[in-house]
Amino acid sequence: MHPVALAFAAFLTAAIGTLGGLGGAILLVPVLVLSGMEAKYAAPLGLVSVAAGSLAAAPHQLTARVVNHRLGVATEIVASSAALVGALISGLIGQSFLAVVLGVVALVAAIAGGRRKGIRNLPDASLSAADVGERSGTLAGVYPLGDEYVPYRATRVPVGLLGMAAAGLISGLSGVGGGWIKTPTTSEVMHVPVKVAAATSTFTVGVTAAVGLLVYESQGRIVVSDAALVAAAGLVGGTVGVRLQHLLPPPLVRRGLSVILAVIGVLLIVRR
Amino acid sequence: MNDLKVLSRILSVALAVTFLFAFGGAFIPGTAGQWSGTACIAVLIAAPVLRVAWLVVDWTRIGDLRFSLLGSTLLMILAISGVIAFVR
Repeated sequence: MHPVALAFAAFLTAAIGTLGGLGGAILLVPVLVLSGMEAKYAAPLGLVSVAAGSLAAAPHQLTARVVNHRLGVATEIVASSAALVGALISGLIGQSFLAVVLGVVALVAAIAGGRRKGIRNLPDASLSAADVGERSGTLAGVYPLGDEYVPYRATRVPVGLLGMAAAGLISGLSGVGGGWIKTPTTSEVMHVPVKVAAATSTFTVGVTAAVGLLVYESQGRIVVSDAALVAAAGLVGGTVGVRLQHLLPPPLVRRGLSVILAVIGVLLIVRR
Repeated sequence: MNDLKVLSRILSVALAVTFLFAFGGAFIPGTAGQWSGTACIAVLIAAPVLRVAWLVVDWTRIGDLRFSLLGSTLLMILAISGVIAFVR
């Protein structure tokens, strides 16, 4: 792939991935494979894009206190463990079958997010800027929405953890990040506001990508010059994505996420 | 300044350093470019692990021991995953 095209693809997918908390690898890897790159070299570049987007988003999201780290750490334990199991058994499951499963999951997540109307978590007039952030010892918090402040609490945690296990397992089996499953699970199953869900997923996919990159580095599958170009473009894309996430209204982010998931789902099923 | 703001500053520096390394890795030819690119990947791997470690220390300090334990467990899982990946 031409370096300019590679940089543009990495920029765009990192921006979209960070905006929706999807990670970006699920978008970049198919583009690279379609352009003729071998999948075994495309997958590490996908993870570089995810890690770059996650790092680019971190300073802004930390300052805005929109990430729920406690929720992220609690769910990432399950997701990482499942990803490890998935990686260990990845040779046992056919890639075609896996692509269909991934596609169906993406379409279900798209429908779940797209069907919902309005905002589930409403602002509380008694809250102020001093209340923004996560609550110590719980999976609850407050996030800013314009000039108002919205309280939330993660619900149906056991079911949500099952979703995270599925995300991790699929991530380990397929080699793409699980952010595109984690964000809809956190938002639609655990009833966490979509912006908090996206920001928290952006944090956790960075953790998963770090381990994946370590694996690929040990296998000598990272082409350093390409990875550096993707990282540079991904850092810029991630910075743009997190700014857009801050500016756009939650229903628009959720619907945009649904459209992207639907496209991913159809692509996965058609191209299996 | 609270601990998350300090972490935000540290990650801002990491972001700038990573971008410089990435730029060097992409455009500087030869060994220097290779080293620069490898350093970029090293920072991308280290940053999220540092972030989790920072949270564990912060949660321990404020007495949120349940989540401190969860964070430590996550770090352990990451370490085990890394070791298994290298061994396999």
